[in-house]
Amino acid sequence: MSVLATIRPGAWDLPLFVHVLGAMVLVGAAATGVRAAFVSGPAPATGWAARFAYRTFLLAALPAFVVMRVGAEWIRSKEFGGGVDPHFVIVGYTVGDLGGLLLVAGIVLSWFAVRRQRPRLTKVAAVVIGVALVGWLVAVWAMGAKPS
Amino acid sequence: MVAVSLNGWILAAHLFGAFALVGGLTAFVIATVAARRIADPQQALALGRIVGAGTVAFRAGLVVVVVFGIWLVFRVKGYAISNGWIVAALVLWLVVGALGDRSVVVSKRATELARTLDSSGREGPSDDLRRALRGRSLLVLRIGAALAALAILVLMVWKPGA
Repeated sequence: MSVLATIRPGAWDLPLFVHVLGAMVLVGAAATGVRAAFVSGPAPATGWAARFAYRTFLLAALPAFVVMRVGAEWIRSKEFGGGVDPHFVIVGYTVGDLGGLLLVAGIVLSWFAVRRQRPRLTKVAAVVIGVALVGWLVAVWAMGAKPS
Repeated sequence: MVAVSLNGWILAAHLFGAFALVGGLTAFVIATVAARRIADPQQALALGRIVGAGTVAFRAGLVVVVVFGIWLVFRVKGYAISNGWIVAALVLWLVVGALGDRSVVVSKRATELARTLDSSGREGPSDDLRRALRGRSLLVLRIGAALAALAILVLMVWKPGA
């Protein structure tokens, strides 16, 4: 349990906190929703799991994505404002934003799945958001390892 | 060719551990909110399967985050295991582990009750199950673990005294 960055001006702390907290909750909420979607099925109890997945994507993952993205922009403006972004920032923005689009697509799919009672569509939504989740984990690796 | 330092790999592993830990706690908190609206044994069993994945992430993250974190402390100049913020983080890590693990035990009791009700052919809501799922102790344990994890994140970012 140690460092998120070794030497850093104090003014960067709050934006970094917002960004990291948003990212952690985003990954946890998306993974929880994906798990619920795979538990879901046509029976009433498993149909409940499909609604659980939809609500988790919409009410937990999406707000966390917004917090993560606002924090990212905030810390970037302080750390690299006006300069050239390093590789790890480019990786973070690329997979982060693509993941955001997949998250929205997955939410729309899971909404349709719940509304029309189509269990398979819930699983398609889970796969779409699962792909985003893998991308976000690549971003976590890039933020930590900082490849050059 | 991508070049990554050893410290970079260790920090990445530390972060993966932290994400798994907080991800598991996020699943616990979401389950706590969802549990307040269910009393049906089959729904409680579905919730138990969802939370089960969070429990795996929580326990794996708890180990990975501290192993790679301590390794980093010994590799990064200027940090020592005796630094106040690191000691505080380790104490809070113990608190997160104890509260989170206890919440898993309490939560499993509710799942077991749901399994018993389901196997006895019981359908529809059960007051006993409702009480087990909405128990105050489960709420306090999960929220306490989440707040302790949040305090660790504050220490990791601000590093008071470093």
